[in-house]
Amino acid sequence: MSEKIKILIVDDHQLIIEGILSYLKDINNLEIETTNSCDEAFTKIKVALTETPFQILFTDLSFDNADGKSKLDSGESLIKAIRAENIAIKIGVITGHSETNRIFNVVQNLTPSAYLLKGKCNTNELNFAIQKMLSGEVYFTHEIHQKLLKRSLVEIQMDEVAIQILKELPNHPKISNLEGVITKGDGSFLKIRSIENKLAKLRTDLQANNNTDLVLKAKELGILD
Amino acid sequence: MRFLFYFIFFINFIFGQQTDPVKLDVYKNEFVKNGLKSFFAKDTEGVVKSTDKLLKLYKKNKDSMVFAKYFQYKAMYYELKYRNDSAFYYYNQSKNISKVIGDSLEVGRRLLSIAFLQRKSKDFLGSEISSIEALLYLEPIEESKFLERIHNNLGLVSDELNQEKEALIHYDKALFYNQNNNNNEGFLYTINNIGLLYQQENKHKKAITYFKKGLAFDNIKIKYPVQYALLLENIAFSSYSLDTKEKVLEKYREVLEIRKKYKEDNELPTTHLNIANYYNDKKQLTKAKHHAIEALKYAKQTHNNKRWLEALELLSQLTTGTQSKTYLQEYITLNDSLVQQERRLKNQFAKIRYETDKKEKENTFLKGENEKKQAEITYHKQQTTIGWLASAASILLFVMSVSFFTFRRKKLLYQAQLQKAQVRERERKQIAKSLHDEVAGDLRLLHRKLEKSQLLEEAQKLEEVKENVRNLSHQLSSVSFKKVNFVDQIINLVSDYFSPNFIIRVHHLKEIDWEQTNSSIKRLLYLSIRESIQNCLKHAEASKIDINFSVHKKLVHLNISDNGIGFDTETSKKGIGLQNIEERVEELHGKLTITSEKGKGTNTSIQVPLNV
Repeated sequence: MSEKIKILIVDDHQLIIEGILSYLKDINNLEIETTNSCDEAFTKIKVALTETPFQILFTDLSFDNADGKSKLDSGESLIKAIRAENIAIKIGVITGHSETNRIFNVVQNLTPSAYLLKGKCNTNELNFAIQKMLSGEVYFTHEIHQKLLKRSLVEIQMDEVAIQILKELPNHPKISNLEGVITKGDGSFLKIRSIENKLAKLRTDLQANNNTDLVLKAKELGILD
Repeated sequence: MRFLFYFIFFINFIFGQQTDPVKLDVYKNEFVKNGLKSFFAKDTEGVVKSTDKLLKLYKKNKDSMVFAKYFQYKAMYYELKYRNDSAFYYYNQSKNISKVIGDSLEVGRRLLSIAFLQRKSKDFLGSEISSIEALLYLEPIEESKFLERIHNNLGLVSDELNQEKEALIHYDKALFYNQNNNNNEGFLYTINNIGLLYQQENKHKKAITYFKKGLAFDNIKIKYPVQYALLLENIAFSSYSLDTKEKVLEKYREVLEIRKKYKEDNELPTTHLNIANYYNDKKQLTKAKHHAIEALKYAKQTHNNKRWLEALELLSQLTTGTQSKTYLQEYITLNDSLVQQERRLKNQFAKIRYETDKKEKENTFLKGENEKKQAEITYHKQQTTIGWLASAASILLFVMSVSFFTFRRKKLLYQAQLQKAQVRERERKQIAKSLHDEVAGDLRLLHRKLEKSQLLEEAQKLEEVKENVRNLSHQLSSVSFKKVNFVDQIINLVSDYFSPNFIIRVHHLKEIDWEQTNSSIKRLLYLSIRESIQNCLKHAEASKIDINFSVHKKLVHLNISDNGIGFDTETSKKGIGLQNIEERVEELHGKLTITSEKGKGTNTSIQVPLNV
């Protein structure tokens, strides 16, 4: 723990910054700087590059304090600017935005290393996220993860058959037992081959390694209790 | 001597009618052959039969050649009947048809027949003209057989017109052509004619050399008895004129025998007259009278007018008193009538010829006139067609311009509506911005104050209000609308509402090219889906929504149906959200239909024209 982890936090609300700082004070070896505007954050990052660069940036998405003079008026534009200059820094999003569209847009286009929600994060989660980010992994808080999964469910046109299979899967030790349980829209039973095909498709679409993993994802989605 | 060439004439005439190897079909050949046979045998009925057959054949195959032959046979029939004017008319018709079909040989042959007929009727000038015309047709095709006959005819005519030199030239030409075709009869005939020419000029010695040349012909007595008789008679006549009286009578008698044998009835009067003249010179009047009466009989029978007159003249000399007077009277009457007849015939020939020419001229004139008329009609037709085309084109142009302007107007209108929609969007954005900046800013200030005064509970509530305002502002503006593509946007939207207990399925979303679709339309579809889902969640108690996209006939169709409780479309009021949607749909010239029934779910259908 000789070297400190250099972190920059950007949020338009000082209160939020204070809150985050209060969560982070329990974590050792952190060197934290804060700012309220994206432009300033970008300058700080660039300046730091000459000496000790920031390793992690936590930013909000929407900045209410941005006005006509601001070059970067949102978390998204800040991230884009950093990406454009190929600066080596792990970026985490801490925001209140949980609409799928915004999440999807950010995750898809800006590929942040972490996505946390203001109202729900705590010291543990922040610490966990920082560790993950530093090790090059990605951490999305549960709700975000759930939303993205649900989105892929919609995209693959999750139908009643798929939901039935996911619901019945934990109740049967063998897949062959599912035959005679899963019904089609017209009430007839689904053949074992069709069930297996459907499972395979679900595993690919939900990025599950095996059927157990699939059950876990289904639980995450709230399909299973 | 003049008597003789009447004799000659007939032979000549027969030659003119001879058949030739024309390619006719079997029937035609047969009829033509039979007809010619009948004609030479002077079998009128046979000729009539062949004529009828040819007419029937013509009616069957409409062959102009057969029709020409039919006229020729009709002419031959009249010739046998001594009706020269009718014969002339039909030969002329036949000739004209052959002329039309371009059969030079037939034209030449008919002209030859006409020339003979004219000479026979003493229309020598006409005969000469016809002969020369025949030459025009026959010379190019080098028909030596007929060319020989034409020159013979021309020789006879020239002789008749007292142009002896020219007559000789023609006979020479006839002999020249004769060399090419090995026609012995023709040769003998020409020799005889040359002899006759000298005989007429009283150069009897010279004439006799020619007649002798003819008579010296190999086996003439057996091979060509008719020619032999002719030559024999003529040599007898010349010898008699030279006062070489010996064997004259014997020769005449031999000629008589031969002619009776070969039924050359029309030549009999000539011989009888010669004999009568001989006896008259010898003052044997009874014998002379007998032969003159014989001559008269045969002349009457064969319509040999010349000999008839001569016989009458001789008889009036040989008889005395009232009998002589009667013969003389008869002679005068006949002569007058014959002169008149000849004149009439000449006139008639000329008339027929003139009329034919006139008709031809008229025909060409009418043809020209017809062509002119035809051209005029075609011109008029073309004009009408052009007129129709022009009017059709102008109508088309008019319709096109009208539709073009309507189309343009529609497009402009649509664009104006789009602009309106865009302006509205901008307005919304501004409202959102002011909501965000001003209202939210004020709220934030208030929030801080509350926090400072330790009113945390109120601060919490205010935070919620602020969050709501923020959400509202985000909904109003479509901040991230352009950043994410439409398909993802719809999926994101649906994902926000999706749950295992509320299944939303989207169909055919990815099959449509949304890049080309106007953003106002996309915004409308997005908002419609959100509104429908929200309504469904709030009121319908549905567990399933199906969202269906399709493009059909330049229209985007959006169909949203749920399995909820439905509602009565007539009694229920529309919410603000739905009213907003309706407004947007109208702006884009679309159609919104909501059908629902209690217990049967709700179906919302939107149709919007794609980029008009």
